[in-house]
Amino acid sequence: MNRQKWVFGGVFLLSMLFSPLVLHGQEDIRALREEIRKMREDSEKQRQQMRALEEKLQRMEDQSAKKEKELEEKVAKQTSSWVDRYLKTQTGDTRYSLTGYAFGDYRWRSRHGNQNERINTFGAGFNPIFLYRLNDWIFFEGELELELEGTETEVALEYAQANVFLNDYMTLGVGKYLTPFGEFIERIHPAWIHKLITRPLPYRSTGAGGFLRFSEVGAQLRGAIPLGKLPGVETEYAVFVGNGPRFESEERGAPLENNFEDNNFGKVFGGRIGLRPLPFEWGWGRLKVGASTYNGKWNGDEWLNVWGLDAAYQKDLFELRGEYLGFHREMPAGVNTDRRGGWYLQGSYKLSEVPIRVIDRSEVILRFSALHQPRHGEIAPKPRQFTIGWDFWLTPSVVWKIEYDRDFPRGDKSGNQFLTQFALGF
Amino acid sequence: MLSAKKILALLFGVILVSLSSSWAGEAPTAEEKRKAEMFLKGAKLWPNYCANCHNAPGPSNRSPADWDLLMMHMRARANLPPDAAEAILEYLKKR
Repeated sequence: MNRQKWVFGGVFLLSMLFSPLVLHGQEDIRALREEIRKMREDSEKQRQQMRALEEKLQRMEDQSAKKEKELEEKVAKQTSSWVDRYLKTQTGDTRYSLTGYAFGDYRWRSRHGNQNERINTFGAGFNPIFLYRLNDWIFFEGELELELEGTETEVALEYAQANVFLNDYMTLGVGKYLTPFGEFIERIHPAWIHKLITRPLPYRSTGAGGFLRFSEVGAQLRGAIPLGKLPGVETEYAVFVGNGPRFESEERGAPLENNFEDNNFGKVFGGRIGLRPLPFEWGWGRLKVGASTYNGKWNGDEWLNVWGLDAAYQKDLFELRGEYLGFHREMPAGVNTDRRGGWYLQGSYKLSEVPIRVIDRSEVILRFSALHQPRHGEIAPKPRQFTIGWDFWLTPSVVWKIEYDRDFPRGDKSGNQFLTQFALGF
Repeated sequence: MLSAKKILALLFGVILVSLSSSWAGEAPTAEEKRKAEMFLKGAKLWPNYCANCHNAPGPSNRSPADWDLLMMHMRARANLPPDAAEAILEYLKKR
């Protein structure tokens, strides 16, 4: 009993002694917690202040940049002329690029018609195209044509034209340009685009009976204008003026010559208007139709008028295109009018859905072409030609072509021609 | 005490949530959306304009600056409407 009292008393004494310490410790903890809370509040306030300062700094930087730009524009306007402002490139860089195409071929032709010359020869050609961009609306394009003929390398300037996009619907071209007549001259004739090797009869070189030179020297205005609200329905146009036509001689049937200089103070005027009538959303394919004209005095007061109709339709793997050209050349008094006419129709089909290698990269082409013109030299006056071709596309712009032509001119002996060509666009 | 299966399921869930938040990434800007729409428009317009004459060139053939210049050449030659030219150019650069 006494012992219990002593233990109880001791415990009581100890608790009395240490309770202030305990109480004091709890107060310290409370104070510490309060301090931590205050520090957190202060820290949060400082973070908010930092954020506000950063936003203010960003605003000041933006305002400064804007003022700097306004000042630069003001200085530019005051110090440069309107010509300098117009010519200033929008991106700060000019650009140039080299593109074009080349080909090598083999031709075999039997003796036929009035042509005593058989052909059994290899050939080649190289057409570099130089493009130069001054800014977003002025650029230059030029193409050289280098071909082997006989014992010479023929060098010709196919076109050299400066183009200016005046607005969304008008492009001005000045220089030597591809004649905007029909579709074949401007868009189809390059070797890596044209699916056959020979040209359609009306577009052969004029020395072989073609109706038009491929280029003029002068100026043209061209563009496309949407019609209505349905995308894809458009009209396109091109009007041109040039030095005018020149013939090798005053004989009927004579071929046209180069017209680098106007020889009779008479210019040629012409143009093409085209229509793309099918809206994209109908899914009926793509149809283009056009009408062209070419009119100029070739000799004193005698006029040359050439007119044409063209059409091209494409849907999926199938393509059909054709053109008709009429030619009317007034002759000096006492000589009958030089009338010519010609046409071609070409169809092609890509075999990409045939599940056989090589065949799935091939395309078959059929063409029929005919024309009539006065007899001149050894050129058959009424040639007709049936052509079958096969293209193998190694890549989208590299093609190996094989072509067979059967010539059966009216009133002349028929003949055959076999050609093969490797062409690449780069 | 969690079973091993429950722990694995929990871990998988955590990983899935963190990955999905990283895949979501940032929302595309207005310019990126416009370029994407132009690319699709150009892909649809290509067969209606360019394939009328020639095949599509290989995608690695040219630099973007070259495509700019070639499109100017083609816009003039083929009488392309400017909006179609812009869309087809975007398609040629990005394909």
